Amino acid sequence: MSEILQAIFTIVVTIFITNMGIALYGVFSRPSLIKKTISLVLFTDSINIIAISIGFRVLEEGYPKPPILPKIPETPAELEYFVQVSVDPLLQALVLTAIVIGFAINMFIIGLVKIYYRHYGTTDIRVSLEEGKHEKNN
Amino acid sequence: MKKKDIVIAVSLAIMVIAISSALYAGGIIIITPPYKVRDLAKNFLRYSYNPWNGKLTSYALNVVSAIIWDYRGLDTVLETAVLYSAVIGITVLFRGIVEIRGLKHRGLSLLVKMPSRIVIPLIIAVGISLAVHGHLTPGGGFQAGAVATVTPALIITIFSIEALYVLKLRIQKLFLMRTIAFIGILMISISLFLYSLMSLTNAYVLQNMIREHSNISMPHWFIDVPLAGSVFLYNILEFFTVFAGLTYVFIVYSMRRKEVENMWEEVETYE
Repeated sequence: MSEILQAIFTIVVTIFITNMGIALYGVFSRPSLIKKTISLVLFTDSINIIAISIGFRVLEEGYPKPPILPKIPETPAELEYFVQVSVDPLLQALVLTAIVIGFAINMFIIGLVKIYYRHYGTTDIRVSLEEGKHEKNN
Repeated sequence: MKKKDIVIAVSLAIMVIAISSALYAGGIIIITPPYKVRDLAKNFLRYSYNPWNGKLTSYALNVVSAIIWDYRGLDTVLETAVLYSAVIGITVLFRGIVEIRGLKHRGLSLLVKMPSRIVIPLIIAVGISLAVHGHLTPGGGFQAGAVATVTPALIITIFSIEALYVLKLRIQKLFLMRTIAFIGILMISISLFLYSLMSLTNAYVLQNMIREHSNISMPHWFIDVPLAGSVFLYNILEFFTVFAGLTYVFIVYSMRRKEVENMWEEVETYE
């Protein structure tokens, strides 16, 4: 069973690396600032999923458990069993921090895009570039 | 223009292949998931709720919450500060907006409005329960705040932004609520330290439970449930900071044309 799990895991990680590439293509090539922002969100999220998957593990029998104690442990042996079956909690905590900071940055970026739209009447990045060239010639 | 697209596509393909092959070679992460977790993670899992080792535990059943607010608490306080500064940045960008009540509004049809009247209290209840049980079950302060913020977004979309004004959710009030909650987080993080200064014992900043060389702690047991001391309080306050901050941003971003039309005029008179 664990071979199938590992094969699926490999496919999933590869898919998210490819997703990173596609998201970067969106950031580089799309002219619309909204589409650039959406691509940036996709890029951050694929990196976060790869980071979480570092903490994944397989067991010889059964499935791994989330890092939350199902009930108050009564003996040290019960706690030790939980340590043997749980996945890595540290990556999840770090990714939660990364999500919040990414969220703050995205909020601010969307504010800047709204200001851009107010100024130029469009979210096309090429409009501001052309205007800059025009000013330089004058 | 065509040449640029080709260069971007080729270089991105090379990047994807390079990262994938580095992973398959076992360089950065092991592509086949391991049978054992790392020793660091093992320690966190072992000491998160461990009454047999009183000097390292935090009495939280949710290990992720224990890491976020106890073992790596400073990171999370700074993260809250980042979110706070993003809201301040948005305030600076959108300075000069005024809330005007009584503009024409319609909202969506009755078919959408009636079910959402039933769903909205349920969403708020789920958010509060996620915050209050953040140290016992999956959840936590930020997730709870993000869930509860769905309700202002739904109200703005389905009814109108007027409905939020009727509910007395004004942007000044939200900003004040957010600031008070953030100051509360900072005060709790130094409360045991201040207490130790008064009672002439030792304590650390961001301390939760009894640690080495320090015998004072937050309450860790409430009647018959574990309370996890400051983790519980931080979760509640983080719920308010995130809810107030995100609602503030939603309201600012969905202002009508008349409310934003003299956005920067006040500033220009300053200069």
